[in-house]
Amino acid sequence: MWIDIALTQEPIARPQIWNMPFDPETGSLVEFYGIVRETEGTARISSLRYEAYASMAEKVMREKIANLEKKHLCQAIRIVHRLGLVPKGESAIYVGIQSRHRREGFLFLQEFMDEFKKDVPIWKLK
Amino acid sequence: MKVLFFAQSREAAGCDDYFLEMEKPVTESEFWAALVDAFPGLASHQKTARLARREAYLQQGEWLHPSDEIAVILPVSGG
Repeated sequence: MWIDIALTQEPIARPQIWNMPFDPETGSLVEFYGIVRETEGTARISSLRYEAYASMAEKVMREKIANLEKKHLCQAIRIVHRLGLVPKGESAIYVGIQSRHRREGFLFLQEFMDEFKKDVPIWKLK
Repeated sequence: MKVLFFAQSREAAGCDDYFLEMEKPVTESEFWAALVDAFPGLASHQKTARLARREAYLQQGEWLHPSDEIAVILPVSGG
């Protein structure tokens, strides 16, 4: 499985462009953008600040991907997480998954994000 | 033992990292007792925090060694 992980201070463009030729067996691209809302709990906010234990975050993500790949075979995954200040309305994370069929892509994405939210050492601060 | 702090744990400790004097391997409970002694502000986070060594979460019952680099990981909230 082709894996690309980036932690960046730069804005995450929408839509994302994959700078690679798609696998000829790819029949589905499932994408998720996590966007900063204007409310966090009950507070109105103008931005959130994200911080990571970067080396561990990438390692944990790769472990999660390796485990999920055994259940849902996919061709490629691309993850971009923004760090630093992220204004409301902008993306904090992008995850794109290429697979042969949509089902494994949707399942992979859902389970990856659930695992991500539990264990990947990235934090948001108001 | 070098201890790393991030985000809310860094705010509670007031620094990015700290050298905790340890002469012998310690349990997680002993580690926390020493850490909270140095940083009382971390006491309220002990129940929800996890520890990581070499970028991997510690499993229950593992010992911590004087040469370890330990990260204090409060509940994550990325994505």
